[in-house]
This record gives sequence, structure tokens and C-alpha cells, in this order.
Amino acid sequence: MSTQPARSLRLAAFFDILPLSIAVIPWGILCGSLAIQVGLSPLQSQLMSLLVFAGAAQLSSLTIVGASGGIATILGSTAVISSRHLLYSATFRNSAIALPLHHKVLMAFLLTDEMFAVTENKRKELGRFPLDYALISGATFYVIWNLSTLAGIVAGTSIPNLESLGLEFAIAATFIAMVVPSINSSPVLVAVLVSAFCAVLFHKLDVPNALLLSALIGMVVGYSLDKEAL
Amino acid sequence: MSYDLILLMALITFFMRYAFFMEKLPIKLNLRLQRFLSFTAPCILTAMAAPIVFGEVALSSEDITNPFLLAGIIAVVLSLLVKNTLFVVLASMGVFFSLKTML
Repeated sequence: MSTQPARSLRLAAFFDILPLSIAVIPWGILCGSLAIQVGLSPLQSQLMSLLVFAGAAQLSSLTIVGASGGIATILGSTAVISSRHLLYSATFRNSAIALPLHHKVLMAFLLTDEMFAVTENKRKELGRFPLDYALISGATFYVIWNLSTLAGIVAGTSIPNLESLGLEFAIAATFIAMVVPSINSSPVLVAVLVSAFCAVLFHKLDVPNALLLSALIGMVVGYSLDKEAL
Repeated sequence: MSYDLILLMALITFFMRYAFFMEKLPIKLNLRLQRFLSFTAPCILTAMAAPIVFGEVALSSEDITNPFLLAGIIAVVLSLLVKNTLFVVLASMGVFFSLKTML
């Protein structure tokens, strides 16, 4: 479909993930400093970002450790929070399944919300799966996430009020900036509105698994309105 | 927290990301299922962003001083007007933090 040269695709991968990486820097700092505060060693704190590489799961597990929660609670919340990645994995299945094992493993390891969002946009734009683009955007995000964790570890406990700053807005802003331009049909618009409504409602009602549930309801509604699917 | 626990967490997050890349999985994604999954990105990202922006909406006069709501609406309007993601992110974060200090 596209004749975009490989080099400019690689540059695009870097520059497309950059704003999302910038928005996540405060979260990396928070992760690093919170890890130190709840008693992890600097090496453990960094290993968490190096190996687990999942902001929301890391933050919630650190909060549980801070509240002296048990191992089962930590692993359970990790599984629930990261279960949305199953959907990303399924979305890329047809493109990934024929890849060599090392590419599959690397791509899975780097498959974050942010990498998925930019790569899925690019895939729809190109009409084919851009492996280089996925790996470069994922790796860029990985490096920035780990550097910001390191900054938080070094800062340690000297920034205790970080949580009250409203950093979650940075995440909301990046996701809004990703989603709004990708709304290209009325089924997608309705799907997004339904997901938004359900997510707010479930949040107010403290419904468990609100994220996955509200996303799936929006997806079902959008799909059922989608004439091309029939 | 122990090293084992960090490793277990890493295994869980990796499994969630790798699960559908396994060839052995007895699932064939036909066109319909692919079509369904094409709604994943907009719906999940929206479901994460919406409670942050609208979570504290009270449907009262308090809402006009809610920086999450105001800056969130500005982010939506800006993304309709401007194609540049970086600009939208930085501008709406700027608006958010100014509102937060002013209000």
C-alpha cells in the first residue's frame, strides 16, 4: 500500500511514541520513588521497571506492599490490571504469529498501551503490520520508562507530594490525543462514547474490572453497528 | 518485596502480552473477529482516560472549577483542531497545571 521508506518509518516510530513517552515520565519517577519509599532496594526498584515494564501494575503492587498486602493480592492485581494486554496480543495475532520466535518474544515484551496505540494506528494507515515500527517505538518507550524510574530512585523520598499533583491527567491527555484523530466512522465514535460512559459509570459504582468491562461493551456495540463486518 | 515476586510479576505481564502470539492456540482469527478487535485501541484507551476526566463530575457548580474536566475538554477540542499529538499533550497538560494552581 505505502512506499514509505524504511528509514523514515523508523524515525516516525521514534517521534510518534515520543509525546506518549514524555507524558509517562512523571509516572516513571513516581514508580521509582514509591518503590524506595515502601522499602525496595534500588536494584529491585529498577528491576521492576526493567522486567515487569507495566506502569499501572507496578504502581498498584507498590501500593499494596506499602499497605502490607500479601503476595497473592499483588499477583492477583498484576494479572487483573495487565489482562487488557490479552486484547492487544489478540489484535496483533495474525501479524505476529508467523514471525521468528525472537521477534515474537521481543514484541510481546515491549507491548505496552502506548506501543500498541501508535503501532495499531500505523498498521491501519499502512494496511500492513510494521514490525520495525513496533519494535522501535516499544524500545524507545522502554528506555524512557526506565530512565524516569531511575530518576525516581535517585530522588527517593524527597518528592513525597508527587501523588497529589494530578499526574494521571498526563495519561488521559495522551490517550485523548491518540483516540480522537483515530475516530474515522460512526461505529467507532459510538463505541468510544459507550466505553467512556460505561467507564465513568462503573468508576462511580466501584464495579470490579471496570476497565475491561467498559472497553468490551464499547467494542461489542461498535462491532454490531459496523456494516462492513456483516 | 523479594526478587522472586518481581520475577513472578514479570512472568504474568509477559504472558498476557505473549498469549495470542502462540501458534498452538486453537484460535483462528477470521475477518469478523479481526473487525471486532479493531475496536480494541479506541475503546481501551477511552476507558482508561474517561474516569480521569469525568470521574469527579458532580453535575453541580463545582464542575466549573474541576481542572480534570476543563483541561480534558480542552484536550478533546485541541485534538479535533490540531493533528500534532505532542502539541495536544503538552498544551493540555499546561492548561491542566495552570488551572490546578489557579483554582
